[in-house]
Amino acid sequence: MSHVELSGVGVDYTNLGRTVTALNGVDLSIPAGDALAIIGPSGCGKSTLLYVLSGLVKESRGTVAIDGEPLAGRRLQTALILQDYGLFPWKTVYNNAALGLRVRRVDKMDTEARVGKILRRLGLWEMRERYPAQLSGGQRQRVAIARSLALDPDLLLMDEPFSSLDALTREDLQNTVLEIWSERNANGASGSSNGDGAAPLTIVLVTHSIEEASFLGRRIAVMGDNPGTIATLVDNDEMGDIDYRKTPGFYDHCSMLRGLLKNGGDSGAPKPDAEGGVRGEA
Amino acid sequence: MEKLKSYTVAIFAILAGWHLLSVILNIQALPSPTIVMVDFVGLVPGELSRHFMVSLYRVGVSILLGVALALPAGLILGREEWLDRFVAPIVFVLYPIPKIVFLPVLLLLLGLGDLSKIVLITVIVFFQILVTTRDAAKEIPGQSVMSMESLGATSRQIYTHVVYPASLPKMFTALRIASGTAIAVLFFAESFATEEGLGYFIMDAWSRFDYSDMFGGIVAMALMGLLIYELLDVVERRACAWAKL
Repeated sequence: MSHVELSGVGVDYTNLGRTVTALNGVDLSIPAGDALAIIGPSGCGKSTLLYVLSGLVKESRGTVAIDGEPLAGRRLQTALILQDYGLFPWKTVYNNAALGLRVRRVDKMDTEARVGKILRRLGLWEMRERYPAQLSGGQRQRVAIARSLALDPDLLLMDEPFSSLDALTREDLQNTVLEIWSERNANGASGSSNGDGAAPLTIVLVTHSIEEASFLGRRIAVMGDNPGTIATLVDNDEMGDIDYRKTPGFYDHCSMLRGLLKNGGDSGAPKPDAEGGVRGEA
Repeated sequence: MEKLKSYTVAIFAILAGWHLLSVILNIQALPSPTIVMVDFVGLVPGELSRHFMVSLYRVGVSILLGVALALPAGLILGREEWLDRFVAPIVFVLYPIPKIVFLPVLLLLLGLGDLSKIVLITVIVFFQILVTTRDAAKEIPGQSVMSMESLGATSRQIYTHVVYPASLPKMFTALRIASGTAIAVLFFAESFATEEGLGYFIMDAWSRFDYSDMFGGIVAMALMGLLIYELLDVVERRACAWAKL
């Protein structure tokens, strides 16, 4: 179970002697099994927020707690997918996917079983001996997903995971992520057909794509021009179906988000109310 | 097979150019390759092989030692800023000094045998590999390291899984260049106060005005360079197959 609780989180970077505030006063509560998309213009601090959740960046102010425990550095059940550089060109598909388990010294048989299953699930098994250079962009990001899932995470963090892919490949991978999220959260405690992943999976996705946020985010945090704060938190309960993308509701939602993003800074968006799914009053 | 063919063509081209030059110049100091080849065949079973092996041993040990010392040192300097800040200036002051000027000191301290030559060449290889691997390790994108950290890797694991493999192709490029320098320096070191090695063999033949022997020695030196180059190629292709994709 992962229940993420941020209150008053701020991050300052020191760069060449100057202090830059990347995040300020972020209050956020992410219940277990949620899918939260964080959207905002470049430089709004959305990636920093993700790195704080991953434990790679330490907050300068405020508190971060997962499952009620203050976050202290990396957490084993948290997986992070980056846009680029996540895969290593000197490792085969299999070795890239198994890297997390290797690093954690999981025994070899167990690793083979887990990685084999996930590679098959993602359609990568036939390519396990190939190097990343021999794959398409979409296949590469699939390997990155495989590596994260092999860790059996309950919190999956993604930083612009599909932004360098072409539209159709991107949708295909978004579908895959949605499927995995739905499977894990439908199984829940009942442990049905799949038998694995009993714990719900929480996803936090950072993106600059409105469509991606609407498709994968059950809730969407809009970050504003005012650097490093969450301007609005939007609910998106209709998501969860692969065909959602084709519905008028999806388009409405996207254009609503677009309006929020445009107004993000200049009208002095109201101080975010973290809990409250406020509908765009900017 | 393709390689063998291109080498054969190259060797014939070199021999043809050499022959042409020897005909045009028509001096004793540049004998025709046909004369040298006949002489070479006679030299191989005898002392030339011994000198060849001595030289190969000196260069080979130096390259191995140089890499073994410089590769880890370069990777660590490239990644550990606190150490680099202190050590890098020292490296950059020492790097441009032609190490060969230390030969007299080394001969005095380490004697006339193999050791002084091996140390000299090791130092030269060391610096070239050190500077290259340090820069290569510095260039590794922060995101690569971050993605390892997010998997829960220790800093040692980041070295073995990321820093070392990422820097290896550049290390091999540096090693190719360094091996050429190493052979050139070996020749110089062997032309002083020694009676073994290809450098000695060439200089000795020169002092005897035996130009065909001298060129036999030069041919042997070229073959040694080729052998080392090809060996590096084989090792590189095994170690960094991914970089050639």
